[in-house]
Amino acid sequence: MSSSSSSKMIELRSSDGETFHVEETVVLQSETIKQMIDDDCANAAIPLPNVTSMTLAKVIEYIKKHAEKPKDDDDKKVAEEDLKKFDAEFVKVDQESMLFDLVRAANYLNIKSLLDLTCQAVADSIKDLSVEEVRKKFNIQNDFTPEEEAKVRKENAWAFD
Amino acid sequence: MEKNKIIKEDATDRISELPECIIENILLRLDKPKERVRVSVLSKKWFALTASVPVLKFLFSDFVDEEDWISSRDVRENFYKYVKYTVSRFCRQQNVKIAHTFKLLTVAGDKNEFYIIHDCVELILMRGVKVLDICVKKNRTSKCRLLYRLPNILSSVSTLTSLKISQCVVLPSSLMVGVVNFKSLKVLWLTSIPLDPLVIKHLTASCPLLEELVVDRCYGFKKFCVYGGLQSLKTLRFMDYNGIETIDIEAPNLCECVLSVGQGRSATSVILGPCKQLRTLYLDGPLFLTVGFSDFLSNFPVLENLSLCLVNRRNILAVSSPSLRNFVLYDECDLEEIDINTPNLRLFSYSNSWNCSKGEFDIKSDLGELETRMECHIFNKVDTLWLLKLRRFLEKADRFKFLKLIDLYERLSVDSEQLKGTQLPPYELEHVELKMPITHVLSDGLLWCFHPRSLSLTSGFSGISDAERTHFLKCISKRLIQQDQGPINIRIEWSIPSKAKIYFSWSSMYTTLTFHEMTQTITFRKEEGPDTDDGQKWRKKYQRRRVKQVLD
Repeated sequence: MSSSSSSKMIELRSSDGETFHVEETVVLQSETIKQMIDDDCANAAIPLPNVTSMTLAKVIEYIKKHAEKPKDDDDKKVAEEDLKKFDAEFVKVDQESMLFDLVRAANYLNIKSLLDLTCQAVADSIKDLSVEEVRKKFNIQNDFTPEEEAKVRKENAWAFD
Repeated sequence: MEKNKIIKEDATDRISELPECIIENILLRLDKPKERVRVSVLSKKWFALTASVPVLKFLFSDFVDEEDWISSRDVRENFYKYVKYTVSRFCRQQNVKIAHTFKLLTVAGDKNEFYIIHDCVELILMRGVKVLDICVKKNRTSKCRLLYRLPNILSSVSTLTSLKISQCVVLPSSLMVGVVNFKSLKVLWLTSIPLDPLVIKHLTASCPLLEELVVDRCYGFKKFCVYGGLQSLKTLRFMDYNGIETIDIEAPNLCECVLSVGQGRSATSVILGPCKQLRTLYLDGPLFLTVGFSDFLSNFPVLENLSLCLVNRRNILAVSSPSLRNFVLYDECDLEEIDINTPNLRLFSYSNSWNCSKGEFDIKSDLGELETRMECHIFNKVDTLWLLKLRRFLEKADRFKFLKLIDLYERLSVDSEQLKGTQLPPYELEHVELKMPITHVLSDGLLWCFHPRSLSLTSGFSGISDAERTHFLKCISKRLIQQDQGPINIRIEWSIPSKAKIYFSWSSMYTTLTFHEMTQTITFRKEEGPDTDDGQKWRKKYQRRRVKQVLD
């Protein structure tokens, strides 16, 4: 009985050809995949040409954690705390590039909570840095002429002290 | 090769490559002006992207370090310069988008500042905006009593979905002539602003989609009427402190209605037409209903939450509603004057003062307990007679299994001889919850009047010594033991915030328990247990006193 009540498995294929099996109830957090399932396009493996296996594994880790349902109200509070901790740890990635891959994947798969989480992480990493530090961190090419930049800075001098 | 590749990868600008909608999402999270401005000088691309963020928020508080609104000229200048700069940059873009949000929160200053605000608001309105939120706080230090009048173009902005106006702001005179084009408006909040009766008339007739209307402490009118022009209205909150004469509402799809008028004014007459979906109703102040209360309530067949503070009410209050779940009453009347006919009631919260109503609805939707409960908040002084009336009320209602009594200021004072002379048997309850000083629990006859299965006491325990505290806990245990016929034990649960509960029996109490400064809760539960000599002795004595009471 218990095995029949478990959810249907959905197969996902990453851009580098690796396949992942995930429960349908878990994968429905992705609006994009939900749409495919609704449109009956999920009978074979769903190809995700924009997502690498490394990123997809992380995304699945995230949606699996977020699919856990607390048993009762007491459990709910504990679970909420636990989820907060998980989210905080989740965005602490070794490489900046991984964070951007996750942002893109969340955007493509249309998982709102993951997109919010990762965009917030990017914003937080910018917040307290000076202009020069942000440029260095993200390799942003400054294409202003010194005069142009000085003009913008002068107009908002209060923001740069 | 390998090495080159790594260097190349490291050198890519991964953030600027993100789709624009994502960069916008990130920019929206940099909501402090300083952060936004700094990001705008990263590169030309970022300069353009920061100009087009459709959420324009200007909070004067972001420019001052503390909550100190009186600030130097320089700070004010910087603020308005930033507002002007950002708005003109947004409006000068090549492909101008509709601004989603324009929010301005500032303090009234001089005329020149109002001119800047005016120019910016007009620019934004001309391009269409969805959410407009303007609050100009009164400036307490300045004698300036200028009000800022919104541009006339406002009345023709059909993109608006939410409009919130507060304090030193006036709606445009174009709203008085009656061509209002708020086709999409869903939320309208007007706070502490002057309102012309004509403006009210036009607004309440020409917002077909309006769902939420809040009119809070506005002035300049004697009547507030909604005559069926707001068919989508779900939430109405109307607060007045200027002696309004009439409130007349006809909004058939209301779900939540709050009407609150200031005390100490003459009575306001209230007409509220039938609302088939009304779930929450809050009435506060010297309101005068044009029909009897029972007829009034029969207009709302699915009402679940009712909060009443009908100051200077004269007649007996008959509350009859098959759907009512939560009833909050602030009233200085006797409990005897309240007649409740509400089969599905879950919570009855009663405060014996008109002055303490909080001006907001605070019914907890998730009580967690299924038992029907009554809460009494004691603010005005009450005596033995009141306690007896409460007991009679509970008996008559015959449904409340939980009783909560809150008497933080020791306003309940009972003459125990008078109480014992009344010959009333004790009233049995599942649970009694007391929020009062511990020293007060034993002296007020509560445990003579009520026999609960369990008792919890929330109090600050810091003012008394360890020995005194132990003494009180033992005395309360003793009283509870006396109440039962058979042998029982009292199990005490002591919960400290954020720590696990500690259990012990009344007979093995430790004096070394460390009590914190903060308020704590101790629960006493009767459970079957071995009889003790003391227990037997106490029970016999208590039964004799009860019998003696009856014989006398």
